[in-house]
Amino acid sequence: MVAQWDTLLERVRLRDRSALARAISLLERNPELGHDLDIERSRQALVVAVAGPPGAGKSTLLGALASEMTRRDATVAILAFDPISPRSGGAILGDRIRMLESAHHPRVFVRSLAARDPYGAGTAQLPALLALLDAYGFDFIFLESVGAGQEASPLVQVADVVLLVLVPGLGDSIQTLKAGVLELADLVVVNKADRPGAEDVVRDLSAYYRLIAESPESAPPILRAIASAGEGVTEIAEALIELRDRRAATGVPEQHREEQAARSWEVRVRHRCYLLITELLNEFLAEARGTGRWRALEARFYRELAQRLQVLAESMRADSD
Amino acid sequence: MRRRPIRVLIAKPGLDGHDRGAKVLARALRDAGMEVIYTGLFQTPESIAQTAVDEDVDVVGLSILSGAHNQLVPEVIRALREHGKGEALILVGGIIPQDDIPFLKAQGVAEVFGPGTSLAEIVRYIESHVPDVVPNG
Repeated sequence: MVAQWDTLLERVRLRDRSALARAISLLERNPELGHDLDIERSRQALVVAVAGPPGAGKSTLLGALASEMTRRDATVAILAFDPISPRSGGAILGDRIRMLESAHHPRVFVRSLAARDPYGAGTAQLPALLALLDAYGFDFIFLESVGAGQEASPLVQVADVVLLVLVPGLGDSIQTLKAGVLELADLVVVNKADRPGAEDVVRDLSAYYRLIAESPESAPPILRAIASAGEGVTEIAEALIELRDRRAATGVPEQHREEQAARSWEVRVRHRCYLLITELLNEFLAEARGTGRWRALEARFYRELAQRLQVLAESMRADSD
Repeated sequence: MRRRPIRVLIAKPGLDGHDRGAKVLARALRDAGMEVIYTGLFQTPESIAQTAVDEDVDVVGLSILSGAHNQLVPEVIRALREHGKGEALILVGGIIPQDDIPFLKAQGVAEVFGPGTSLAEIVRYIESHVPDVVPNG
């Protein structure tokens, strides 16, 4: 399997699209393949998490942005995450992205992924996935999810840049976002800017960033757009290209690299623990339903969990030898 | 090694605007534990093949109600082969006259499901025709 993986990686570096698609599948099934990959991202690609409340028009904006990027000869990858059905484990994936015209442009690679974590966004393999897409040589990698509204979302954590999309008429949503993703945004788009209240949102945002920004330069740009009509998209694309160029020119600061490695590690470990606990819980629930012996079960659960963690630890040791 | 869920692309090539059946099927496959990618209406053979490659699907299901299946299906299959995705299990659903089925199968279609096929039957067919992901794959 490792030999096959190496061959695939070689082909991915040569921009073989079907090899890339297969490598992603292989990685999904065998997370351990990504161990060495995730930390070594060359960071040619700019990874952009698209965050914002449901209904803000994230997908439409992303479609328009992808088209704009391809017009500028940039290559774009979109990872679209959707939650799985808790009952069957199945999923209907990426339809909001797939129905966009840009999803079928030869320079736009779209992959839909089933998210098996509580945020409905991301998998333990996310950092390795990004490394894979980076190895292919995409200029931009967009991460899109129905659940990418919160700070805790793994998508926001692994991204280089957070693009926050807001719309007028969400009432107190800015208030609720304040402590979260608002602080992490590198670029804020007020979409559906032709709607009443758009200027209020822009004003509220400006006031907020004046308050928290250490200097005026460190506040994220606030752009207006009407994504469905393609208005304002050029400016957003230019802002992203500038962010990417700046990064390419100055390189990634050592401190930032370290931080990324730490975050990647955190995302992976957190997700593994979550999967382990969920799987075991489901087994116990199925077994004990109707027997009423919950208390005794709890102690056994912890014992069993400890054993599984032990097995996981052993497998890591084997890996590092 | 976990076996990954079967991935299915449901696509509507050509010019018919009826996707109710496709959506009902998408839901049934999801409920059977599969990962379903639905492309929406009016897809070209080229875009269907590109999607099948990018999404690395095991199954391509084509829903055609326009009567243009004898033209569209060979085009999709050719595009799939050109993109290196000829190994996908290709299924056709919709209104297909009995007489056309041998032609479609000769083109590379694995099975044709007409009106009245039960969803369970399609699920069973896919489950028994997609090989388990082998440990070395």
